[in-house]
Amino acid sequence: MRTVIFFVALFTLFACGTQPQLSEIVNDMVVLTNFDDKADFSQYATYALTMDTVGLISNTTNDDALSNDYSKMITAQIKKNLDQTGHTKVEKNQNPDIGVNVIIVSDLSVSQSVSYPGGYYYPSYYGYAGYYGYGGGYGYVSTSYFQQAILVIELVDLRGNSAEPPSVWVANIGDLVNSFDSSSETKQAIDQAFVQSEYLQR
Amino acid sequence: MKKGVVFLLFMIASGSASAQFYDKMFFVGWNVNTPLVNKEFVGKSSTRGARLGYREMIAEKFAIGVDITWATFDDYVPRQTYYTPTSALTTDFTNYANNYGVLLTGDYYFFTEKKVMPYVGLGAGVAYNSYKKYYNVYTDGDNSIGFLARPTAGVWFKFSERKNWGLNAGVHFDFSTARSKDLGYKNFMNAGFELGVVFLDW
Repeated sequence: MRTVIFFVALFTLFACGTQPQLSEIVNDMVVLTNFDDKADFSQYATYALTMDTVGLISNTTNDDALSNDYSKMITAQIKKNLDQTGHTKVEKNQNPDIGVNVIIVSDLSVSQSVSYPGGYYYPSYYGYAGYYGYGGGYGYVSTSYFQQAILVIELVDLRGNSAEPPSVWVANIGDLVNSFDSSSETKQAIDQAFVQSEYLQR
Repeated sequence: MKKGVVFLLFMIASGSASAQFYDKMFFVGWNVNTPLVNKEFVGKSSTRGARLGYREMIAEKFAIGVDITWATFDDYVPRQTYYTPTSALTTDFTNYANNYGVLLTGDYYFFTEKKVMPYVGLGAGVAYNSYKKYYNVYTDGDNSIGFLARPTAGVWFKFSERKNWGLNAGVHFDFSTARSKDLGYKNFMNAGFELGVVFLDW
């Protein structure tokens, strides 16, 4: 019987490595862009962009904006790319053709489980042996959490003076949390969003 | 590492009682596999595979039993941009196919009283294949169940007539109908070889 158990354990050991380690897959951020194929991007000459601050949607804070070195870097990089594609930054009251929304969406997932390993008894020192009534084993709570965040850059068409201006281009960039060098990778990912959207070039 | 595992197996085998006859066999083997279809998804040979099996002789040269099989294939697709008419995605992918099988198998032994016992076998059963694409923290994929067939051929080596264990070397071919439309699998096929240890009359 011990032989069978050994081989089953060995087989289980073999079965490790059925998915990659997180560190192996977060070297580069994922960049996804979508656009409205009815939009005429050559018509957009000017844009409005709030510098230094980005919007924030998070399930861990009530703050709705982020203003730090990271947000400054993000808005500066977006401005650089829009300038390079032939657009001109103007103030919001100067009737820009497009508005730029920049938002970080952050999500924290938390899960908890309680484990009761068997065959492990309280030492008599504590004097509470069997107190919990499940054979005297220790119970412990293990908490696992995973946080991820994406950067959303959206261009909206302001020329129609609509109360809800239509979105004509959206970039989703992630993951901001688990990538190795988030600041540098975010910069590269913003550049990539414009590189793969050649139609933005005027 | 592999030498250590083999040594451990020998140590356990040495402690088992010897017998000159047998009608039950239990074995575990290390499998090396090469995928034969949809090599764009996973094309590399894999050393992560194993088989656990049990056989009972039902005739002088014929045994039936159960096999549990596992193989993990993975491959890396470098970062590139994928375009659709209205979107673009830039990422690298780490692809995984985890294939598990349970088979009813029959083996025919050309002779059973020798130190070298060549055999052929055929197994039929159920495959559970998990096809996953990992990109940064994101995952897409399919889990699929289908029919599995595994013809095998190999040789068992007994070092002496008195020993109740031996080594197994063989080749196999796996065909399963566990498909994934999205990832381009109408079926999964792989070929491989196995090195293992077999206990006779365990």
